[in-house]
Amino acid sequence: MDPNEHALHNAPFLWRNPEPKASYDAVIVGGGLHGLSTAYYLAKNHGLTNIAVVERGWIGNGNAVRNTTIIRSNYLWDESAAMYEHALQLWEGWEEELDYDILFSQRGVLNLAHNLHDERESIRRVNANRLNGVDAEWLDADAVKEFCPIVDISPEARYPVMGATLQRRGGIARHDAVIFALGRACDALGVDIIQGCEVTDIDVVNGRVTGLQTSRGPIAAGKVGLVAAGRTSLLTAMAGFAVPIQSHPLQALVSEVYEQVLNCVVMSNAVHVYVSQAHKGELVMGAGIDAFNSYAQRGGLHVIEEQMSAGMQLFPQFSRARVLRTWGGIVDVCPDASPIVGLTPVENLYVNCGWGTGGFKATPGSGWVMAHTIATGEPHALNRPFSLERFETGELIDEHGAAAVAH
Amino acid sequence: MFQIRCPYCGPRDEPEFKYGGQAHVAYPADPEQLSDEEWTRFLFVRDNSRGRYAERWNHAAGCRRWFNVIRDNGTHEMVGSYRSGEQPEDAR
Amino acid sequence: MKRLDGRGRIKDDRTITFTWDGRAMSAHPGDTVASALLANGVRVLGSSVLMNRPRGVVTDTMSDPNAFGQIGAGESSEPLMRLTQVEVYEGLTAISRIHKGVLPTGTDTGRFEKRHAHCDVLVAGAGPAGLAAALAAAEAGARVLLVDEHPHLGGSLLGEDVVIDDRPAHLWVADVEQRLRDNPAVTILTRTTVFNVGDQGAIALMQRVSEHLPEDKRRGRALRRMWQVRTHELVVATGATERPLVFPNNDRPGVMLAAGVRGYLHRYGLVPERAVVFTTNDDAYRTVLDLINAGVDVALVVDVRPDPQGWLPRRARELGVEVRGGSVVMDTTASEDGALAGVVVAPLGGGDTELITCDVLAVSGGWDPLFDLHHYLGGTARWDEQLLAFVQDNVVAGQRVTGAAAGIFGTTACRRDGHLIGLVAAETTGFGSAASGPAAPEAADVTEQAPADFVRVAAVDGDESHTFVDHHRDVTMAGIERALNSGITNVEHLKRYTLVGTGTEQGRTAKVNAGRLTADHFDLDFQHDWRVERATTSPACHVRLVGRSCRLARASIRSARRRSTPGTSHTEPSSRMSASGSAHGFSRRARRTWTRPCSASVRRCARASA
Repeated sequence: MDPNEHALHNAPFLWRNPEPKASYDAVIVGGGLHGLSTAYYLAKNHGLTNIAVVERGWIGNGNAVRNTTIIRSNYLWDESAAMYEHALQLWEGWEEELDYDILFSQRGVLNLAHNLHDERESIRRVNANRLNGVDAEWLDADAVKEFCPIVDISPEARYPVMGATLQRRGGIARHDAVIFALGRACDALGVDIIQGCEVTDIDVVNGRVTGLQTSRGPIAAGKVGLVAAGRTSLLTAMAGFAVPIQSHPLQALVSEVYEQVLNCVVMSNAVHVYVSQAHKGELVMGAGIDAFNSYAQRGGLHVIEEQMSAGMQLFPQFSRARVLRTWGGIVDVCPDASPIVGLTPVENLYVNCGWGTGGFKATPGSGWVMAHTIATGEPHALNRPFSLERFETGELIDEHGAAAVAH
Repeated sequence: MFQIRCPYCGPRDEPEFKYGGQAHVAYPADPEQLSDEEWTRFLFVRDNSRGRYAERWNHAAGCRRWFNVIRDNGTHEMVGSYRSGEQPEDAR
Repeated sequence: MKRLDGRGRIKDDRTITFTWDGRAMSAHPGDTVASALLANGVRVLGSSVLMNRPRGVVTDTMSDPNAFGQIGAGESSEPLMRLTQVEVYEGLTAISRIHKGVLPTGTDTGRFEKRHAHCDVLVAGAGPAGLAAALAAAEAGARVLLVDEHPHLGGSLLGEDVVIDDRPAHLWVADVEQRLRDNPAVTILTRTTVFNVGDQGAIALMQRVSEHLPEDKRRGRALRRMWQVRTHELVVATGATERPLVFPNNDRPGVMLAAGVRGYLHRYGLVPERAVVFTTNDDAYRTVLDLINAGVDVALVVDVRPDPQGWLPRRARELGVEVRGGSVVMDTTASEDGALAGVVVAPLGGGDTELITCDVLAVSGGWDPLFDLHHYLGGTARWDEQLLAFVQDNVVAGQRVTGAAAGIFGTTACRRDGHLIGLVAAETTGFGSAASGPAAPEAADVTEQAPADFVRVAAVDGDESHTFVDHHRDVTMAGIERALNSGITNVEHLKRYTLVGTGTEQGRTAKVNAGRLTADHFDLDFQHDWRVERATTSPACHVRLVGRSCRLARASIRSARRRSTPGTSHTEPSSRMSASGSAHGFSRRARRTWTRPCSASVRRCARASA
């Protein structure tokens, strides 16, 4: 194989590292994937070029590097299905559009059903998905075995497999490459990516945002988008309002590198396991959420134990696989497990948060609608239902059943 | 895995407990009189600050009683715990 | 390498047979697979992951980036086992799969267990500092759990020729071990690795119980046991690891770490035919002296420093070894099988080159304290300009770092520091008083010349595609340069762009060099750019790389919960809970053992597995 094969997957030039200007038309706070995606579409779809992304650490230093890279759109409710399906369609064109080897692989996502209730709920979800134009199939246990031969479907298994939903267009992408791809694309469109720049205060005059105080000096801004995931509460407090999110640890782990054994993504809501095997060969597994609030980026070992225990039951072949690294991200969870994307009580200040455990897959769609909202001052049709007001109007979008993680 | 001091039973491992969210959120005295905004705030908005945080835990696999804990959610330092009805100053 | 009679710690001349890729090999009790392969003349372990370069054993510790293999046959075979750790037993089968393992199909017949325990002071690492800390804490009255990943206590002392109190170090180790074993409040777990540090002193250990025994001797015992310990104080005495140097073709089998060469001599009696030593510091001269003492031909010492004048280099010269200051190894040559045949030596900065034949090149680029455990709960590190290494920067509540892990080098200094830390840890948990404890050993007067701040020899022709920074991931200087020219200023991005430091060995021989190369790169271009400092030389970013990457949860994914031995894990508390833990739910038998040292069951269990 080519020497330095891995490095050669990556582009020889990524981004400048400019000094922050005194003023921008729009500033995105948060250089995670959603922040970069927002800046990308602000420049590409709306022609804004005098914009910056400010990031307290290094871009991607949030959940972008702490997720399990699963991409799918099989959500239950119309609003979510529309949002995530839009994102999936954008993913399908991104490798070409961004001209970057992000290793997007539509290898299929299985959601296992372990009991009659799971089965009914899964079939309901398949039907709902189809009505919304999202590809979905119901597989019985034998078909599951055929699609993913290493799953244990024996009836005496601790978690018997009754069947599974399958979204064939679902899959994974290499998260690190997506950071590089988006960073490069933003930079090429003239976006200033400013790393090591922490926002310390938000300037609000007469109910309108005018700029930011940062660790690298004040930056005036016509518009500001807060795209800071688990740290959003800390930022909105600076602007004088609260969002109904809670920040929790969500842990995941990666194994050592093995020859390919798992050809698709397998998720199980009942036992909180979601797993895939990355291109290099390591198994990437997600765990359940730690119940408490935390900003410490770590959780308890017992959560990992529970999840590995369940994973072992589903995949006996993993018995001698070893954990190379575990990590914890900070997930920002709304009471209805759906995100908030839209306007805020402060004029020209917009917020995009609450993606909980499902943010990676939404990256292109989230950026698309957030850019629209910032550029036009009005939400896009896709994110209108995901407003901050829904908690007052009661039009909640209950997606607690959407992920393999209990919220 | 935390070690949490139940005020009734002593220090125990985290899996014995259930988390109950922010402490000292009082039920509104007269819910009928609340505006939609106030009701939303009561129902959905909880403090999500970083640092010392007063929160409720239930010793589900022990005495099954609710109590309060002060914990630093940035460092996971357990500052102290106290019984329901007591105040944060009583934490030890 | 060849085995010398009467050298090393292997005293048992019985012969064990095992297979490597189907070929029969012989070994002695006490050998690891790595030492046995070297003794059998196997220099090439396998091919590298991307470039198919031949690779061999680099050192005798868990830091080795190449020494991996599939151990066992069929349904219970296990991928990516550390050959520097796996002890050879009769009938062992090992397969060369050094960077990518195979997950066996079928039903795993291995048995795994879990246990719980409590203690006042948990000491991780039983080298000079850890032993001193454990002894001090135990004699102050604290309940101590001493954990070490090796089969024997002693840590670095096992791989050195050191004198303590005018006696060989192993006699001191034996004395301390006896005093610890005689103390009912002490539990010793060997073959045990700390793999997770959680909040409020929750420590997870993985113990190799019977997997080092021939299959017919395991007698139904668990292969491994996971311990979940709650401790008041954690003492991190995990030592240090040597860093390699970066130069063209530095990955050939036979290019080893200097301390590794010394370790194979003292542990296993293995020596090269003819060695060259390449160093930036005085410590590598210990390898020179020990090899000379063992009768090995040391052809040349290549020292980057212009005028090495410490007592160690002087002693080497007195013994007739040529020491060439201000020089570097600028390339290596290979024999037919791809293993090292010779090195090309040149003055630093260019000049006449000389080819010197050798079968081992012992390299030392300095030492990195290993304090991974400090990072789990938010511990940070800083670059120390004197030591030229990262050391801990902050104090994490409930944890103390000591010995080489704290950047303290030298056996006497480590014992002294370990002793003090042990007393303080015991005092913190309510036992004894650090001020009135027994006297610590006197610090010896150690004078060594400062190491050179040096990482890399550039290729003469500018082609850096065979200059390796990370052997495990096949990351070369060419790849690093590509990344650093792309706009990346942060080691976290560097790691993700090149995969440097992400390997199964936790990148222990790669990460610090990668960070220093990043710093060098930007110091040339943007000397005053603060972002560069943030990206490379300041702890914040770098330590995140170290910290996250070093969460070495080597637990088997296999859950032991449902397969634990009935009647051991859950019904019998293995030791007393901390003061206020009440006796809910425990059996009467358990309550009887609920008395202060009370780790009787723990000790029984530990002995059974020793």
